[in-house]
Amino acid sequence: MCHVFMQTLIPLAFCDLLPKGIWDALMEISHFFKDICSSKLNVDHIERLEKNIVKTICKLEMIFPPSFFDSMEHLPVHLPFEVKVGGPVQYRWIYPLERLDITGAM
Amino acid sequence: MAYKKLRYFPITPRLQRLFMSSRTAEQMTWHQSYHAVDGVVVHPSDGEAWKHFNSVHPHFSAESRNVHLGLCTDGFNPFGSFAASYSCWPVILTVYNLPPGMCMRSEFMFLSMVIPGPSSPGRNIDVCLRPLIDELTQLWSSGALTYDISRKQNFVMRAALMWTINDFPAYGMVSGWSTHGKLACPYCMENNKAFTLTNRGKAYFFYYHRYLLPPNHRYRKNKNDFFVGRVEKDVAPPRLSGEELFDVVSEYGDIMFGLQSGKQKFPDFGLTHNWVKRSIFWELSYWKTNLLRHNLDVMHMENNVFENIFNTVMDVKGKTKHNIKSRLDVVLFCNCKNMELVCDGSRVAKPRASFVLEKNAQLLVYKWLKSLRFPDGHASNISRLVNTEECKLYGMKSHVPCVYANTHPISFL
Repeated sequence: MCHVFMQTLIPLAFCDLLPKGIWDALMEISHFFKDICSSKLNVDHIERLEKNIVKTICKLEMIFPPSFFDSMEHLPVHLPFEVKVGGPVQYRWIYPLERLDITGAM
Repeated sequence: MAYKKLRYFPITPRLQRLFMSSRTAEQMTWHQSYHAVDGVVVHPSDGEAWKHFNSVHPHFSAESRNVHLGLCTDGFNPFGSFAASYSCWPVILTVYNLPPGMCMRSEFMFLSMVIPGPSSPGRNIDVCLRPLIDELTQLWSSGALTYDISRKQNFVMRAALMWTINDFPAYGMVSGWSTHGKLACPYCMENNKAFTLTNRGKAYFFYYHRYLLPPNHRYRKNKNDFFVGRVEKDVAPPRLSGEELFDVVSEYGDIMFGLQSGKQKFPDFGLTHNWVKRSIFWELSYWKTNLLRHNLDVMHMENNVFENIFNTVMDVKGKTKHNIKSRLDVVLFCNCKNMELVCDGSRVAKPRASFVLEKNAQLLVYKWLKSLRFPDGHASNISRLVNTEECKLYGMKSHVPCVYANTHPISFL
């Protein structure tokens, strides 16, 4: 639902605060994370994500200064490969462990 | 007196117990009984790694009750985040045979060991993992005789470790490929194009990604917006397989673990490779046949990317990536006039970059955040974290930015 909500809202909500090019790139990276975290993914879609994320990061490179890009800004390019090989992110991230710590179940 | 005490809880009896309860015994073969839709990934068993593993090890896949495991480890402070620093490392095993609804539930996540602090074990984590690796080796080679209540019979249960789950610093400790410095990326390895910025002593992955683009992409020929005057001709290198990596890391030999070993490093460390050790996981005979051995943690990545974007766009003092040092670097590498420092006689001006919001726009965003309400269970109450008077966002806990990274473009409308 949230995904549809965002996609319908974005064409309407043409940037007021940020220039369009910048806002587009931020939108793309945010959609990338949203898509990569979904619990059900098509292999075609993953391959599309793999191609697009490189372009998105190139767009960010054109906008932000060099010091913006530490290793964490680079690693998303490898995420679609991991999803294709290992399955959805929910089974391979550290949230469950963090929650165990937070609730004091340890 | 022992220097440290490692608490180890054997995994075999707990795996056996899963087959003793009729509720869980049936579910342990779920991955075989469910019919996957072609080309759709909903469970690790749909992934290429699982299928490849089963085809390479037919004797293992022939018995669907054999257990696929994942290993999760991270450091935390048991005395709370405000207490004296103490880093304790629980190691947790997860069972991937179970259906999605049960898979990552806390009941089926087994605490295997607690590595004591006070500091992080670093690469010496291998010493602590020894009992677990021995048990896993035994579970792979000879297995354990187990009673399965759903079929009312005994069988020999085997288990295989699929991958490890860590945050990025722990990735380096576990995998043996250090995640610091220029060669931090464990996929790009030595083909890395990161470079050190003149005014900061750290490696940055800037003007880096064009070589991953298709050969004729227009960005490759762009001489203005990327590295000034440079055309990208390199192509993406292939990812190395487990066997190839094992051969490479084996050449470096073993290192001595322990407190006295000091900072023993392989020759050319940081120049042609980032290997710090041959990880103990290579001792598992099937480890090199795994397609995915260590996972990049999406949670920390999202968190970090979000913080960088937010702090830079909102120009958060002390945290923004667009500071004076950055402006000095921009002159050297880029062609962006509004990001540089401008000298006007005796005064030095800092023009506002196009990606930084003006003060009143920032206030609008904070006010908007303050008024946000999310559906129950979707996110914590973000409005509590916002101080509109000081224009600050507090307590960005790891589970908050996840929702945030997915929704924040709305805030820049």
